[in-house]
Amino acid sequence: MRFEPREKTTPLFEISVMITSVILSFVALSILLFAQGKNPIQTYKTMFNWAFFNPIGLQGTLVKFVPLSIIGLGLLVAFKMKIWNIGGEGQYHLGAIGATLVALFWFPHLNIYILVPLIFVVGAIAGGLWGTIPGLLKAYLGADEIVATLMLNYIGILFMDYLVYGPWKDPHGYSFPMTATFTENAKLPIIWGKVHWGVIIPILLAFLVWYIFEKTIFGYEIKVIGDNKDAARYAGMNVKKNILMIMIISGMFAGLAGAIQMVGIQYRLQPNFSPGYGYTAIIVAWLSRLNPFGVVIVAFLMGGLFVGCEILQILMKLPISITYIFQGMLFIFVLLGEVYIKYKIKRMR
Amino acid sequence: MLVSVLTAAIRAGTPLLFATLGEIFVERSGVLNLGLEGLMLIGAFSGFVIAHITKSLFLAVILSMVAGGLFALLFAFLTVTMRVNQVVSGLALTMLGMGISGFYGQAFIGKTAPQFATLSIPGLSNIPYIGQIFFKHDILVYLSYVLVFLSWFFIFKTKWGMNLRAVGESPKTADSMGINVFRTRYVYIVVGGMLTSLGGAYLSLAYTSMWIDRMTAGRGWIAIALVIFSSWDPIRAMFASYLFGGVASLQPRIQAGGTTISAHLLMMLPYLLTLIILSFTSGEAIRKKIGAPTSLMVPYSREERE
Repeated sequence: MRFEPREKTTPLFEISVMITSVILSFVALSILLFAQGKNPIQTYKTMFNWAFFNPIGLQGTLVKFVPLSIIGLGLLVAFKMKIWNIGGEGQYHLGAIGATLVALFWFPHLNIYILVPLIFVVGAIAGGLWGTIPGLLKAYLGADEIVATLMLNYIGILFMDYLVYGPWKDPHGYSFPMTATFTENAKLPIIWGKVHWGVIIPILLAFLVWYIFEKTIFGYEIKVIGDNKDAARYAGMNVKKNILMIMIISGMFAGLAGAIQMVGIQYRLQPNFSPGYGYTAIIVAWLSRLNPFGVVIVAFLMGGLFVGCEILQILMKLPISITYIFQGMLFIFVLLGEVYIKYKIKRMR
Repeated sequence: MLVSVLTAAIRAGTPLLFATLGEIFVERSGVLNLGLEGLMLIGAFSGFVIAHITKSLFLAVILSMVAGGLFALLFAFLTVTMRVNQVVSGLALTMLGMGISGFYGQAFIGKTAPQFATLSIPGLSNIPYIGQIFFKHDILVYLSYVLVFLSWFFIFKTKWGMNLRAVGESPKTADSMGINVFRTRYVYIVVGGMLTSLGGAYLSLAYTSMWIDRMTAGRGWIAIALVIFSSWDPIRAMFASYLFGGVASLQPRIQAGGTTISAHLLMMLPYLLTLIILSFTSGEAIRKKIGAPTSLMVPYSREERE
């Protein structure tokens, strides 16, 4: 096959290719559903209605939307510079650990209006710290950030395990590996059902990210470095410093997401509290085509996909693993769609 | 005590070793496949199901490798032909592998299948200590010993291996030398997928005698680290895999022994070690010395440069 770069594409063209990709992935999945003896259209309808139009389902979607979008926004910042932070999962865990430290051990009885913001700050710092390590290694030693962030995911999760099985274990918890519950002062107020006030934070952060990239020199430099590192260096930009900055910011977002999850819905640290949000957020960031508002929309839809698959498990007895097939297929079709946007594909003569 | 720990280290390290060997081939050709976790799951799942149905371990191993090869072919199509970003393609592969094995595997949870039995090698297994540690295992472990040396020989001592390394170093030069870069990458992505899948099959057919959803438990990701740890060298990969396997198999012993060291902190050691090794081997000069494939993650196209 031969690839000819398209000179110019319109946003309308790009959006219609993306929508076609999504539709195609659903068509491909219909085959799987059909083989299981399910009516695909009925199945999609069930998922869609539950995730977006049923109050309980929609609450679940919104709750999942929060961490997915915030981690996704952080990853977007790194991906813009072609820095492959796949350590969202570890940074998210560190944020949750930081939040628990403040909420349970430092100031459990502080006034809620001081305590919750403090938890956010410490969570973000903890996540940022987890981003600093690979950032330093990448910037000053040239260490591959993919492997470094991957290792730190494991180290972070094991560190959490160590805490909840060891020193932080709730003495009244019947030997379950989890911490005590947070005090009322460390719980985010609820807006609707399960949905907490954290749900507005992704939208604010999306504007922040948009502002950074559109209106600041720092954001401009990141984009230039992402496009051409050598050119950026000749132009006098400090690539190393920017790599470090990017990794810190990226980690802070994920850390904040972990902290919000703790005070918003978990109220205690326990193993397996993340169904791999840090990894799904990579898909979210990518599907948004690195657009901050796109992240918010995609994260909402992805949250809906999680919740929709949960209802398939309950109503249609389909294994919950179908979520991952959905994610994987969607991802592959969108990736192919992107190629189609970039290139005209012709047969080699 | 030490002998039994080392024996367990080899058993626990073998699935990692297969996957690491596979990924060494892939990365040597200049491609990073982050989808090992998904590939291993496909291998574990398909191997178990085929053994369950046909009762033939031979068929199970062969067909699980075929399944892994086909799954890797999808990755090759995405990254080599379509030139999709390798990082995200690998993640998509992991998602799919997790999904497919979990979805179709649910019907096989709690089922049984024939298992690889221990096969002591006459003579060799009687050597004190050494025999116990290395030669009282199942046949797949012996296969892995052979594969390590074959892979090493292939990569460093044959013309094919030289071509493979050339593609990973500089695809452009390799192309001008008349090596078909696309075909080379396709071949080694598929070979790597087959080996990785075999690592998964080892888990469900020899290591634990059943199929469990997500039973690879992150081993695919560990293998990616092990490739760095072993600096793309099959023989070093062997030691690295056994080191990781050893630490993993120490964990239950420590808990049983009632020591005060946290098993979780101990489990961190291999990851920390990888991080440290990564930090010290990433300098331009050292990378050149250890033979890191310089064109890793760079998609190749004849007519344009990216």
